[in-house]
Amino acid sequence: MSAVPAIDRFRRVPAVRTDEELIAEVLAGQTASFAELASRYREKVERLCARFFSDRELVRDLAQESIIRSFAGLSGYRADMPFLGWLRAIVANVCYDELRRRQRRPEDLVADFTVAEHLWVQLVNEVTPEEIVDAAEQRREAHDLAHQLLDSLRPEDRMVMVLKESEDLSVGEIARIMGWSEAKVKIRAFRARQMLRKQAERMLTVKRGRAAR
Amino acid sequence: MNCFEARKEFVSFWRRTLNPARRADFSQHLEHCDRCDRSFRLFALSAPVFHSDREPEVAPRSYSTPPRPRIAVARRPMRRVPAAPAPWRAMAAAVALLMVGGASVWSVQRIPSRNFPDTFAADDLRAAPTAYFPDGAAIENPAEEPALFESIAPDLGQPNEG
Repeated sequence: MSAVPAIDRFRRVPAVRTDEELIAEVLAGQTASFAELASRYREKVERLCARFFSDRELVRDLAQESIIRSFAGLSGYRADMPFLGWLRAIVANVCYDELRRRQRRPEDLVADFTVAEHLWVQLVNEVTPEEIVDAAEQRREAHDLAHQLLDSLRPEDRMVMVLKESEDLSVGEIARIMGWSEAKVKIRAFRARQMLRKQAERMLTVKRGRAAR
Repeated sequence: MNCFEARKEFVSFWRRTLNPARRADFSQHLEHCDRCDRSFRLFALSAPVFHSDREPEVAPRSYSTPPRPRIAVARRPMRRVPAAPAPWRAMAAAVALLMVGGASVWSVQRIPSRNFPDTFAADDLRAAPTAYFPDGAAIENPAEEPALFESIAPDLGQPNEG
């Protein structure tokens, strides 16, 4: 039997501090509190970066840069919006800068596919939807090929697609994050969808053509 | 389920958040609707990035790495592995370098000190006047050869005595 009464055991559990409390501590000079804040959101930050880039080292670097930028700009954070939303805007802008820096031409898309990627597209063409979902969870090449497909988009289009599809943000939120008008976001989303469909069709057609040979 | 509803459920189906009954409806619709089925397959090409929360580390070996054709490996030309350099080669290279360096120094010593522009601008530029005979022969300085001139045109050089 434990000698510590149940109520005391509950008291010993450290209270979970809110984001706002941690931020207040950091701004008051306790910079160590930022480590807790960073560890709380690191996974989400890396996941968002991974929607833009497949290279894991690069993803870690960009996540790290985003966190450092958020630390440097913490005094500019306003409590009227959630910290995650503010952090997401920083991550999006860091990734956008990197996308623009390494912009690829759309014609590079169907350049070279591995045998595994070829098999993945063949599988997408032939098996049932349930089997496609199952296989995508296990196959690295499904992610690699999806990244190749998204590489065909312009950086602006890709930003809109990721923020809209993956992060489920509204047009207004994307416009605020990117500093664009809502009309521009809508146009970008429309063009991105068209382009994505065209490239996906092209990818499947290429695969069929190669398979037929 | 109609086409409009089915297309709204693509993401939920991918993320496995549909309840079993709805999931069955969705699968059944895709089975009978070629357009929705095609759209889902196109969607599946980008969905791993947009709608999956984690990436697999490496693809399972069973079906992602098919055996490569052996003939391709057999036909590949053998690469020569470069041998480790012998110690005498370094010494020979050093001696050769010294000889080349010595020869360069020696040749530099022999060349006159005038550089190219000096040479170009100095007396070498002055060409000596040259006279040419009809048969192609030439003399360097016709002024110093009066006898030769007289031998060609003896009458022109003398006053008329008649």
